[in-house]
Amino acid sequence: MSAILSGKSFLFIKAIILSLLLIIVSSCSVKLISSYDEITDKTVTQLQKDFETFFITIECLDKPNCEYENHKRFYQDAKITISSLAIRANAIPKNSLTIKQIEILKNSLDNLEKLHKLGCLSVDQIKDLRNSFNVIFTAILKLEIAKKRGKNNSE
Amino acid sequence: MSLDVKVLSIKMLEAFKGKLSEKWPDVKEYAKTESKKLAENFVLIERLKISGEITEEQAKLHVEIQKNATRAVLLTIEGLGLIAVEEAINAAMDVLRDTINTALNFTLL
Repeated sequence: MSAILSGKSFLFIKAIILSLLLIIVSSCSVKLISSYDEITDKTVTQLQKDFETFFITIECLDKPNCEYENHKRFYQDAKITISSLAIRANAIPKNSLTIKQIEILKNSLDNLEKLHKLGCLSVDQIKDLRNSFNVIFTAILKLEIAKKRGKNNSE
Repeated sequence: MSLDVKVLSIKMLEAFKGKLSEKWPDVKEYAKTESKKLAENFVLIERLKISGEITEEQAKLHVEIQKNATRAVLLTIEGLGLIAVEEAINAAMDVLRDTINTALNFTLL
């Protein structure tokens, strides 16, 4: 009798453990990186267009119109947009990679500004800069879009 | 039906590997494409410096921007890797959940 009872008790305990395991497994879905952010996506996309417009514009200008003093507005606007992107990125949890990428973008813009202050940018310089910034923008966007994780996510 | 740990672990591993294999070609292609662009840019900067079109100070700034671009790509690759691992873990958890449901002979949740 006691053997039968202990056998039933064992099965009962096993069922409880399995059920608890299932509850734990069901409620746990791992998330290693933040969700997709549509505003980040759209802002970065627009910023890339602004940079492209800037490069196309200065490519066609001669001195003195190509000089830095005539394009301060671009740098100011870009800095404001990047600052606002950084604030938003910092407010999203598990978003450290995108935060670092935005910091990289900011640093690159600062370097571009320093370059421009040294003198007008030649066609070849603009070609290199355009490529570099497009690599940065593509990197940010590729990661952001990947955060959709194959779903139609527009959080 | 009792849980077979060996069968379960094989199924979970297959789910895990399947998800990682799915993502790897995209990551590899991206890394390859961006590496080529970055290499071309470094060569261009060197040419501009050697030809005297840009000064050393200008070359340094160009290189800094290039290095930043490289860092941005590496961060994206890291992120794609994290997403792939996350999906792989969750796929394995799904297998575990389905197997337990089957073992219990009903859907608990």
